[in-house]
Amino acid sequence: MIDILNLSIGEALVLTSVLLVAIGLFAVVTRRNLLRIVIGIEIIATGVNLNFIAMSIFKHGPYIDPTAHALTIISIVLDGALVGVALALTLVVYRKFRTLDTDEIRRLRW
Amino acid sequence: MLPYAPWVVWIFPLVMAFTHFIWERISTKLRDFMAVSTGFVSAIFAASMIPDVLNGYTYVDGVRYEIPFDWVAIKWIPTPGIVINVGVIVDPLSVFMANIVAWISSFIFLYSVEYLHGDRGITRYWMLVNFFIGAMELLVMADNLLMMFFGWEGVGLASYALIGYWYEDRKEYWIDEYPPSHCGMKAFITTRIGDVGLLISIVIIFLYAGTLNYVDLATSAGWIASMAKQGILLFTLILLFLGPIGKSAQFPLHVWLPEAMAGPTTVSALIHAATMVKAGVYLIARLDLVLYSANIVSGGVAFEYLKEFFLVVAWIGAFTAFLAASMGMVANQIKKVLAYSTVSQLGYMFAALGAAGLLMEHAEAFVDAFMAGISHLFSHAVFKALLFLSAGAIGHAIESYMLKDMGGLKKYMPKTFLVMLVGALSLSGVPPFNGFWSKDSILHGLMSEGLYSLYLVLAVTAVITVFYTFRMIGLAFYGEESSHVKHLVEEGHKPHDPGLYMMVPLWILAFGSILSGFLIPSVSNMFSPAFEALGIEHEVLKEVYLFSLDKFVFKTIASISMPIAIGIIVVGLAPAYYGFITYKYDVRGLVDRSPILRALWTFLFNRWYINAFYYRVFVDGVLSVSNGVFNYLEANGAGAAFKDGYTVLSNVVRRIQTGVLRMNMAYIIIGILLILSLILYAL
Repeated sequence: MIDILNLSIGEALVLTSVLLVAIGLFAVVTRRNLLRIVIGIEIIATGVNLNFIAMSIFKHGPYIDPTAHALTIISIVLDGALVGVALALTLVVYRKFRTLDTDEIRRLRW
Repeated sequence: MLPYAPWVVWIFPLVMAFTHFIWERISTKLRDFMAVSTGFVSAIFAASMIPDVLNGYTYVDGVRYEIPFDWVAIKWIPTPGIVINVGVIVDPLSVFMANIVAWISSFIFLYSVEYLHGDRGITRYWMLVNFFIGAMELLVMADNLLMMFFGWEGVGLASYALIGYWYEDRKEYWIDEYPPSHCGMKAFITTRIGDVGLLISIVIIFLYAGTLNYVDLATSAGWIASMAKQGILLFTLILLFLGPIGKSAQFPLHVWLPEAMAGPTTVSALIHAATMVKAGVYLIARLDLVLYSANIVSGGVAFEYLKEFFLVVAWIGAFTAFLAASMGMVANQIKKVLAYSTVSQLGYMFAALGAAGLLMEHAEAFVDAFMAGISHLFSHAVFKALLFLSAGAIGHAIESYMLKDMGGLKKYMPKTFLVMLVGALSLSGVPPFNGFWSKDSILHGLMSEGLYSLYLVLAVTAVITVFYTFRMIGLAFYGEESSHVKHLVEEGHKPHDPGLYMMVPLWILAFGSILSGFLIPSVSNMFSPAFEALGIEHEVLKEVYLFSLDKFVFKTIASISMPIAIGIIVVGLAPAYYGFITYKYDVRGLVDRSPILRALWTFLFNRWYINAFYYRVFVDGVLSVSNGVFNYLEANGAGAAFKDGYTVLSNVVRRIQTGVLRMNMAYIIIGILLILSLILYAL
């Protein structure tokens, strides 16, 4: 497909990451199930990580910028922690309300 | 030396400490073997450094280096302007301490195999004691104050964990009203107070000197002169001294050591008698050497401050010696008697090393007092380990450390009695046991240098020492059998001497207590490279009587201090002998009848009320402040007002919410897009 669109590998990666973020945002906005929302957030995070990697390619010089890779590795680790917390919250919500439907859980509205 | 001995000696135990859980999976025998052999390997590496120190030079990779040899491995903090290295110092003091630590702990490990046989947490025990010797060897081998501090904290951690070793707090391990976990916490917090002072002073010294290396501190005079000019030298040194005060249980931070007896007896012997509490003495000895050299290099500009500092050291030591010995007279537990006596004997060492600093201007007197302190450290490590291990043998046999549960044990445990008697004679300073030679060299040194008030305090303390030692022996081994012992005999659990693993270390240490007094001149000669590095001529050293065996023996016997020493023994022994060994005089009845003695007994038994005072002020004080904060700030008052106000506020604000998560999310995304487009437009 890269050949068809005549993109460089960096551009292709950026495009993919934008697509991933968009898919994730779509999931977060349209889904009502909390688990799906968590999955959507994870997709956004993946897109952002990929974007970092993609941007590192555009650096001028003999080497690819390693800072972006280092940051990405940290970010992946943090994602792991984040998904842990998010799932724990989901579990607590399920135990309390016996449902994961966000429209049912409207305690913020008095 | 064996290859890399100054490194292996502390790295090896530190690494091995974390492997015992693997050996345990294979076999518990293997685990015990590995732990004990770790001690002996470390000891052999430590011993291999002695010949180099005696020669005054060493070879590393075929290159010859003079002693003291500062072996820097890597630059630890290499920022420009701040250079702190990871290095070891091979000099008489560090090698001497390394050997004391490694050999004493190896024998105690051997003893532990039988003593703790069948205990549940024994893997944890091996891990902690091996970690302890690693940290302790790091403390003594480190070539700068910061690295030393890491070892210092490591031994504190090991001490805390081992005091609270029986953390289930079963009633039989309590020390009076305190459970073991409480005792560990108390030791940790009390020593931490001193460590904060130590750390602050390390930072101050670094600000002025730009280095923490002992050799650099000794040879550069600028720091000591500029600190003296700004008037903070005394303050900094006393802050530094807070560390040794806490670690070596000197007044006013001595309260933790009696409670530290809640741990296993092997731990009391190893950490709280023979080695860890000597860390403070080591640091003061190191400071003696560093400041002696720095004082000469700086031309003596700061000598008056140094003199004041060492006066404080000497008097804290002497006062603590008296304080603790007086408490030891009435203690009700055999290990507590020994704990008080440890505090007291450490006071002797501080007094001697403080006196050495005071006499810095006279090289001969400096060397004399310094070596007296070091030799007492040496003999105390041997005889106090022996005493504790014999007490452990008694506790092992009758399952109690209370003196009232003993009595008449001599016929059941003759071998234990014999070795404990050797330790007791040594502690009381009876010739020719090692305690006599070292204690006499301290007293002799103080008298001949004209420090009569210090001498008087320590001589009175020596009388008390003889008394409480033989009171302990009498209560444990003589007199009538207590109901506890009778009960044990009736049940068929007759108290008996321990087995081979426990007896062998006891025999070795008893043998050492008898003979090691004659090793003091050899120890002194081992230190001569250190003194020569300070610029003290070899001829001066030859004049000091501690440096040759015949002079040492004859001068000690022929001097005025010999009749005084015998007088001390007689005055101290007589009441103990008639009161607690033959029971001719009813001491307990005497105390009960006389109101003055009764009041004195209560005062001493409550440890001069210092401990109670600390509990009342610091523990109860903090608790009442925190309870007050909770009651009046958290539960009521400001905290409650905040909570109520927030509830009211949120009830108002939540009216503008729809509560539909997806809509909120969509608004957020729209908002972000708007902001982004604004930014892009502005660009």
